[in-house]
Amino acid sequence: MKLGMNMLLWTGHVTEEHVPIFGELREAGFDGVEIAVGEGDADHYKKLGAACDQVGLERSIVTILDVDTNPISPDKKIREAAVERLRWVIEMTNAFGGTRLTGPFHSAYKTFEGRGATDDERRWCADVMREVADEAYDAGMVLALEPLNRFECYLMNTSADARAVIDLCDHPNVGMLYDTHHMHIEEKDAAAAVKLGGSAIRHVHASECDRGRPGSGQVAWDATFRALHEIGYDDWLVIEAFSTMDKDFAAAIHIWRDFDPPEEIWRDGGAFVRQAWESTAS
Amino acid sequence: MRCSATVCLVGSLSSGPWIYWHDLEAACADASSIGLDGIELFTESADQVPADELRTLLDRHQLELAAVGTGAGKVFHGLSLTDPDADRRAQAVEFIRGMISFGASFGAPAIIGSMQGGVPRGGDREEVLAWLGEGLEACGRTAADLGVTLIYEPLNRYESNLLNTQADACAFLETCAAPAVRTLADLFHMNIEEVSLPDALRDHASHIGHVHFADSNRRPPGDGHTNFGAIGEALREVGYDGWVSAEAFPWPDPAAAARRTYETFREWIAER
Repeated sequence: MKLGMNMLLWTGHVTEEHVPIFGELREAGFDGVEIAVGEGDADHYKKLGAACDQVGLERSIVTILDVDTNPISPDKKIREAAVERLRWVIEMTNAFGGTRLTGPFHSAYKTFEGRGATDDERRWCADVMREVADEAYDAGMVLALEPLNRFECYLMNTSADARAVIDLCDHPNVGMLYDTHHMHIEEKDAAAAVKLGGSAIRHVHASECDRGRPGSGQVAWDATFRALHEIGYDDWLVIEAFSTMDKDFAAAIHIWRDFDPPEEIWRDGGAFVRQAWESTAS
Repeated sequence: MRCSATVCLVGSLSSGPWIYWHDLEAACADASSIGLDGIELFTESADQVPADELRTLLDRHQLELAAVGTGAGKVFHGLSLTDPDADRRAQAVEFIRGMISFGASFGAPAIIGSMQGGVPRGGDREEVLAWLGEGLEACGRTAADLGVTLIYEPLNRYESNLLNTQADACAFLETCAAPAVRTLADLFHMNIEEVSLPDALRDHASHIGHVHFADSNRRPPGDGHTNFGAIGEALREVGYDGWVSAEAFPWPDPAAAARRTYETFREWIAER
């Protein structure tokens, strides 16, 4: 297992001012960092990647798409724009040195039609992902699609929803991201959800029910980790927690209060995730 | 504790977390046949169902009215207690007062959920909370005069940016001169926001005036992962003697959802 920390705790856009945090994370035992890719250029991400190399951190990224780049739009031009945008994200991720391109980029974030997903939408999504899957592979990164809770997307809210698209896509470089926060809301049984995801699970977000310090809330950590061990998952566990430090970003993802002091979240949360992971290995 | 199920009579709505839909008489007959103690009503207005008609129905089926919702003020009239326009806020208070008085003739409280509104982008949070406090105080006086409580519902982060936890809601109510106002402990919202449901129920027992009964995924209690044993234990321990009212999706259908609700109530929540 490799332990990662998502920089969204601090900011929606990482810049050089955040570089000192990388060193602190490395010292605290993290193996990698995850950043959001939304703006900036290859040069920017290259610099950040070099800073990670300096302290010995691996990396992954999360990204989102919007209505103009929606992979499940009925408009072919917009789906082509999704492919173009993902090509740009792959390029930035490559510059950063990321090995996982993750997030809810299966559909436009927080965009609803007042109904559930259709077969056409699942097929369009699968087609868009297949279109960029080889390029991502060549650039050394896996694509991991993230089911979100009902308030943030409708294409996929559960492991079963994710499998439906991933199975249609049928490409070895396209899998799912299992996020314990979203699954806490949507799934009845975390262990069953992990097992249903099975080998499609290529990335994991360790995130508490309230997005605070992992281990402080209701998430079924033991059951989740036991099931991950059982399916043979031995890859990234990235803590995703939020704060109000970056006000605009916080508002965009419905964060209206602080849950735990940020340093407790990554320091104690990291120790908790590592300990819970080890104690559930049988 | 008494168990009830929600009935939505808002004609233009066709989906939402309500157990029974559109037909009040059929809802009462079914609820009563299962053994539920009451119904919680969501109506379009305070006079959609004439009081004498409702009384006849409730008496015939030996049901009580658990509570009335005020969300139609938002749905139909776009009203909220935190509208930047003072006249609109006054209209919101009037709408809620109508609902309070409708409920009070049956001894039932009104619930303020979506009518609380929120902080608009770039808005001043302190100012918005001050309006919320004024609204709750004004409506709370009406409730007190009519001998009922008024229920304020903290919603999860995805539905409101005002107050998301029992702790925040209770702390806020402490700052208001509104002794008749209680909080609503909605187990679905709490599944997202609280670090522990039983602890939150224990810690804020003195403020909690109503419980919304739903599982982690907002399906009927028993169809998700919420530990109802621990919740029942906490509610009995603090001596909660109010309503436990199912606000959940009618999954797989209203009749089955109502039965599931009542079974879970009997098994885990009701006093032994």
